Amino acid sequence: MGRTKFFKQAPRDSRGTRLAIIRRFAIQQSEVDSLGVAMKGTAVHDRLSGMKTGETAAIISIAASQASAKRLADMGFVRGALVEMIRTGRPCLVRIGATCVGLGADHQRSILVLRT
Amino acid sequence: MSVALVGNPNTGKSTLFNALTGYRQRIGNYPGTTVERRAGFLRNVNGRAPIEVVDLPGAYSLAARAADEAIVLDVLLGRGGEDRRPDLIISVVDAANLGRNLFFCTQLLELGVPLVVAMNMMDLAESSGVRINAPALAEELGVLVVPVVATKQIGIDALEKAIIDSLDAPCSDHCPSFPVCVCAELDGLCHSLADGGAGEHHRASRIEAMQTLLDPGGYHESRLVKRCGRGLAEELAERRRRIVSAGESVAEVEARVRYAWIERVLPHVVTRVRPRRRSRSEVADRLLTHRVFGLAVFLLMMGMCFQSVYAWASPIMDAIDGAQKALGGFFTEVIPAGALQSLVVSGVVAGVGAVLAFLPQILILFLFLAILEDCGYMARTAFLLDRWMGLFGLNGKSFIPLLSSFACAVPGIMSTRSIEDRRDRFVTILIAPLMSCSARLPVYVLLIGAFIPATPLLGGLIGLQSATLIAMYFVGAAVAIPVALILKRTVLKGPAQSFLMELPTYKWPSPRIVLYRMYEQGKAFCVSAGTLIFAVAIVVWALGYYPHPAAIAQAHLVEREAAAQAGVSAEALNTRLAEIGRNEAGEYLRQSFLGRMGLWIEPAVKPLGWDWRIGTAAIASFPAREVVVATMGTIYNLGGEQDETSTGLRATLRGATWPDGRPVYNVAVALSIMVFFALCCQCGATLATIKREMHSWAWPVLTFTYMTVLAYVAALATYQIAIRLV
Ligand SMILES: Nc1nc2c(ncn2[C@@H]2O[C@H](COP(=O)(O)OP(=O)(O)O)[C@@H](O)[C@H]2O)c(=O)[nH]1
Repeated sequence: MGRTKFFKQAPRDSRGTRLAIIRRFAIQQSEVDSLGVAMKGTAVHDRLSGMKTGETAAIISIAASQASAKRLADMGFVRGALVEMIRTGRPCLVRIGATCVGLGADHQRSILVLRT
Repeated sequence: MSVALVGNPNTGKSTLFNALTGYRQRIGNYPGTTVERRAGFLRNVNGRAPIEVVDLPGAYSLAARAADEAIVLDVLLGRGGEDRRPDLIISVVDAANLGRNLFFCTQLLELGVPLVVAMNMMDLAESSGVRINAPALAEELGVLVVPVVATKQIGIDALEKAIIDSLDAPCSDHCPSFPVCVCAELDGLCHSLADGGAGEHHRASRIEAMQTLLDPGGYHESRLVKRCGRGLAEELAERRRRIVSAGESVAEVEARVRYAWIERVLPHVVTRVRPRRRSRSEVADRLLTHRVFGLAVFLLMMGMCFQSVYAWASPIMDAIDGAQKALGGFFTEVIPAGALQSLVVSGVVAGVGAVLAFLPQILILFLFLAILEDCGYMARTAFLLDRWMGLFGLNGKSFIPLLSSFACAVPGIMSTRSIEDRRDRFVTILIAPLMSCSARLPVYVLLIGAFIPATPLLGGLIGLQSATLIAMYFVGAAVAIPVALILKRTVLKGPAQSFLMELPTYKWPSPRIVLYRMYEQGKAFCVSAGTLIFAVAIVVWALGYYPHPAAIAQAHLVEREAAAQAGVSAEALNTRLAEIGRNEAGEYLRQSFLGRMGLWIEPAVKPLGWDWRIGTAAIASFPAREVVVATMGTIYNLGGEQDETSTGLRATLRGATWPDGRPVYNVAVALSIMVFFALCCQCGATLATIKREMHSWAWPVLTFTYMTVLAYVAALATYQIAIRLV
């Protein structure tokens, strides 16, 4: 299950997709609005926690509480930024720009990425 | 005139500060906090009035989460009083990591204060294979950009000149533009804040309004809502709703806009001349952050640290012991017998000397921690131990304060300011004093040296003595786990926060910084030995010396004469006279105020295997636990038990007896004392720091109570179990 490409399987209509996202990420309705682009995507989406060592991916969105999202965003985890997984695990180690950042399990789950 | 150094953590602000001020600095505190305010004067002002330079704590964003970030904000927004607001900001950015650093820089640009960018670590940027075009960046930002290498003092003159040139320059108006919906809400908010009342609101500038609006539940919001009431909270919620319905995310829009601006600018500034290679730091991290291997390296390093604390310091310690004895002997010669001689020899030399003998150990411990900190390994320990900190209900960030608490709980507690979650921070503060700080080291080293045999273990890899020392360090940490869990479940309930932390690139530790830190800590220890411990030693001496009734002297004089007339050999007479002398001293001590107090509390400490002297020493050590060693030195010296042939306090303890002649100390008693001191909170400085950090006396009282109860119970259990086993 961990690595399912859920967006491919999700129902086509927007309401269904929203529900799928809510179910899959256990997030609140209000936070789904920030997923914007993610819902339209058709490529290989995943959460950061699903990345393998050495993989690089682009961030699509952050589905976390506003406080966490703000902290992550200010540290550079914004839409379009590239992250490289250096070491998987909890916490994992990623490179974003020239910085190495350790990310705990919750943060890893809340970052949606598009693998390139 | 004052200028402030502002930037992300580890960008070299402190190094730059030292370069600009020439190591002449005053360290004070921000009002009402324990946050250090490091200030100095610019070396070179070209004949202008002196310009003060202030080094602010590191921050990632103006949206403060942690307590030290809040300080940065308060200073930059002039909340500590308008005169404290800097006249110019030196934005320190790491050239090797320009993208992330420019985020904060563009926020600073909007503060409406003249700004100069100090682009530090140019050497690292170059060696990582990029070329940086500073004038292009200056063009984009609309301010002066000076490339510097703080550690090699390159570019400092140019920076000084840029500072002076920019002081009166107009502020830059280059800044990223925000989506229309955000701008509209911002204008509205600025307007209502300015209308809403008098005083500070007028100064609430646009950037402050932005941080309030775009950081739900953040520091700015809670601060303003407290001031302006619920109405503001509702207004903010309404405005945020409108931003969301316009299709923007409140929490991310600022980062998105700024990083988009940076993405656009960077290609003009940074050119890669060599393809990116895996940095040496990353290679090292492959090993050092490995779940198994990294942890093994960490444990090995800690073991080595404790082993060397014990092995290297011993010869120096013996030398200090010897010097102390010689000094005592010298004063006995030159000062006539009486109260003054007793004060100097028993009170000052024996008391303070006993504590100073531990300076070498403490310096070695601080040396280790300073090296770990400066080379960047400390952040890795937080990363490695994040899962284990889960046991405490905390995350890896709490590990660094706890590790520093092994040196001293006071800086440990102060460094909790980087923990964002208030509850996590409080739990960390409350368990930090359980970590075995260096002030416990004298107690351990004294008792281990005297009562634990030096049997080699594991084929000579480690001695039984070092193993006991390590075990003592573990006791506190092991007890901290249930304590933290209980606190997390009751008074400070809340979910564990997920780990998020930058791991800075590894660097060779700078000998200058490491030695400077070691020197500062050593100085603090000596100052406390010279003041607090000195004072307690004198009080303890006075209580142990007076009332000094003459009747005792008379009784023993009679005995002496009787011995002299018994007609035995000269040698036997000498032995007899020495014995009488000891009895006399012991009698004086028992009759003294201290002795009477001690006998009164003896029933309470007897179950721990302690005699009244240990009990008294433990109580007298309330202001600082290392005092216990000084107090014991004084008590035994007063009691005449520190005889001529013994080397220092260790041998004296071995010879101490109950009135019926049984030795007071054995392994069980030594363990019980050590366990007590491992867990008790006999440290006035720690309690005062907790009060200052948590703004209430309830917390230090709670800390002291729980730790004392814990210490007593654990010491009781230790003694009762050990006495049956050994
Ligand atoms: N290579 C290099 N290292 C530097 C430079 N400036 C500072 N450092 C190192 O960076 C580390 C962090 O510096 P520090 O001044 O403590 O940073 P702060 O946390 O911003 O105050 C120290 O180990 C410094 O020796 C520089 O220009 N080049």
